Amino acid sequence: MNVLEVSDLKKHFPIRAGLLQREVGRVRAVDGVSFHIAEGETLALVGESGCGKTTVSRCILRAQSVTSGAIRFRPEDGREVDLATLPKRELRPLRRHLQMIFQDPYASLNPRMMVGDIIAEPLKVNGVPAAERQARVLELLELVQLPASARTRFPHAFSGGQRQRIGIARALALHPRLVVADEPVSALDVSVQAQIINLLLDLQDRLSLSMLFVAHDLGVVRHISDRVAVMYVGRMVEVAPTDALYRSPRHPYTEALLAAVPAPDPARRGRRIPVTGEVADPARPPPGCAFHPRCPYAVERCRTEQPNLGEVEPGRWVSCHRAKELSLAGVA
Amino acid sequence: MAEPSALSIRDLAVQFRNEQGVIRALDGVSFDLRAGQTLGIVGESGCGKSVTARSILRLIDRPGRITGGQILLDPAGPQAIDLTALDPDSRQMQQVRGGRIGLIFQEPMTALSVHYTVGNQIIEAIRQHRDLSKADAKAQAIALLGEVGIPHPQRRIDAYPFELSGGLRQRVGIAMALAGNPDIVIADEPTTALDVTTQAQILGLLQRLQREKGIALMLITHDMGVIAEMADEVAVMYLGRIVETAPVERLFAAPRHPYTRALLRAVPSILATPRQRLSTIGGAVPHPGLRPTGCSFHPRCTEMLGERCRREIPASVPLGVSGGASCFLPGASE
Repeated sequence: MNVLEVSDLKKHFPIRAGLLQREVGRVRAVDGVSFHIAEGETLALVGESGCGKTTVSRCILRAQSVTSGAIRFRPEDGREVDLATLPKRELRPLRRHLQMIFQDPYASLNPRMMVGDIIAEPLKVNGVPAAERQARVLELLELVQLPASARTRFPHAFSGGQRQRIGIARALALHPRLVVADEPVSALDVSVQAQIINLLLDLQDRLSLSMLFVAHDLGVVRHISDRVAVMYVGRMVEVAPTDALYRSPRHPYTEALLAAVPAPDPARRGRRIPVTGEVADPARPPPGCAFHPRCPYAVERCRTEQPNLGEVEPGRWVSCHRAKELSLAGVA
Repeated sequence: MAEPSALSIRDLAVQFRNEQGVIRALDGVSFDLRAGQTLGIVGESGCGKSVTARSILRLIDRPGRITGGQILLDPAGPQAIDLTALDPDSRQMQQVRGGRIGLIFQEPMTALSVHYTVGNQIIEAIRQHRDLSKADAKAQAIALLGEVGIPHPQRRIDAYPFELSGGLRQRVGIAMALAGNPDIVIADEPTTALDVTTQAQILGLLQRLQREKGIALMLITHDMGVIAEMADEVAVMYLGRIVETAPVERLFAAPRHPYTRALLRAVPSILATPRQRLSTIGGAVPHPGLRPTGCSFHPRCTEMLGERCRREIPASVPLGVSGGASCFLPGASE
């Protein structure tokens, strides 16, 4: 059963200019993206800045309107809604099923509220009685491994890692169907990051969380996700089970991304050849496949014809004209 | 055979004083940056790695100040200069900053002005350190932009920084750092703000320039992957002290300080198995104002020996290429 099915999602931002603010072009931030998240599954959405991964997550949360496409969400068994077209009024009761973990644990907690009240806030808004709220807050603090005494303290008394735990407790308060985590560990130091990664792994096991994990760090992603979706300039280039994607990528951009990560092992030094060029401008994407100017395998067809995401083997989708003939290098 | 030291730091101490008290940002830091080599300095936030860089260039602002130690430029030569003895605003220090020692920032816009073209800024930097005519300096600037891999340097020299992508801006930042023809370059998290494919390009560029120009590179980073890729020697910092130094291969193969060991095990890896958990370090880095007694890592250390770690500060890491750890564990300091 899929919790979320995104199909052909597009989000274009108009570029306006001149006295009359006429539309002179469009930034195709997200340009036809499809993927799904099964119940209990963590899907990582990866890519470099400007690839549209954050825009996708904002569309799902409807923090952003959608240009076209469908975002089918199953808040409860037997019910399905399209978040892309749902009127704002009908969106509100769904919010409890769709929660978010933010990147910056310093900016996302109200400094004037006690931690207990921060975690209880979503419960209160959704009409959970006070006595029940108390019990649930204690349960949640235990779940994220914070002491019960944290309830009566303010966010500033906590370190970055502890604040991220508070944010996670708040997101889980209402047993959401889907959690969207946007770079939840990228602001943390390595030693603290490891704690939060382990906590998320525990929570996946204990609560069978369904999660969209937006991230740029491919190391973190390998630890935490069941499947990975790779984006490049507004489009999906590859979707695959995590281990398969790292061991044998099928899209040249995935290969380039993996090769670019410096491995913490001096013996592997100098073995990689970095991809040349820079990420294309989504306001003026190159014709054909957007990756072709940087792709060492590009042929004439890649310069003119845009490839579509197709299933090259069960569970593996790739958007590359040469997906079936190329043999690309992964990391063991 | 060890290269001679281009820059020797000895017992450097930096303190920040405010209403709450004194924060010892650096507490007796000593190391050698060898000519033509890359020294990686790694640690988590608050460990003092950036303060070290800024003190060398005498860029520590009030309420911070150097309270002890020496920063020796050309320590073995007849004209060794102790930078701590110079006035930060003196002409001599200005000649060192950008002349002998170049600086690359995390965010290149720190070094660049939005009001002037890339060319104007590099030409000015060149003329500040070398006696060249405007035309010669411009030719130099174009050559430099080409050297750092900027396409069409004759055209790009007239661009404003905001017209460039993050990767190109960092290349300009590197060109700025090289404008004075330095033999020492300090790079403070030079690729942290960049995407991973751009990071790979910039690291490759730094490697090439360092080799070609024989620069002594001090590379500050929090990323063990970048260290593994770039460094010849490594210094690991924790709460204002160096806890371990080692040649890079040994650091990864046989780390001697419990903090280094724990840090290496905590790094997420692209080689992980599915759902692999990481080893963690308990607690968090304490605020530098609340430094624990004895070895400052002891409250988080899983290999603590007892009272001694709580009370005594272990000896500093030994100087010399083979390095060692500042720790009471048997064999750690050799």
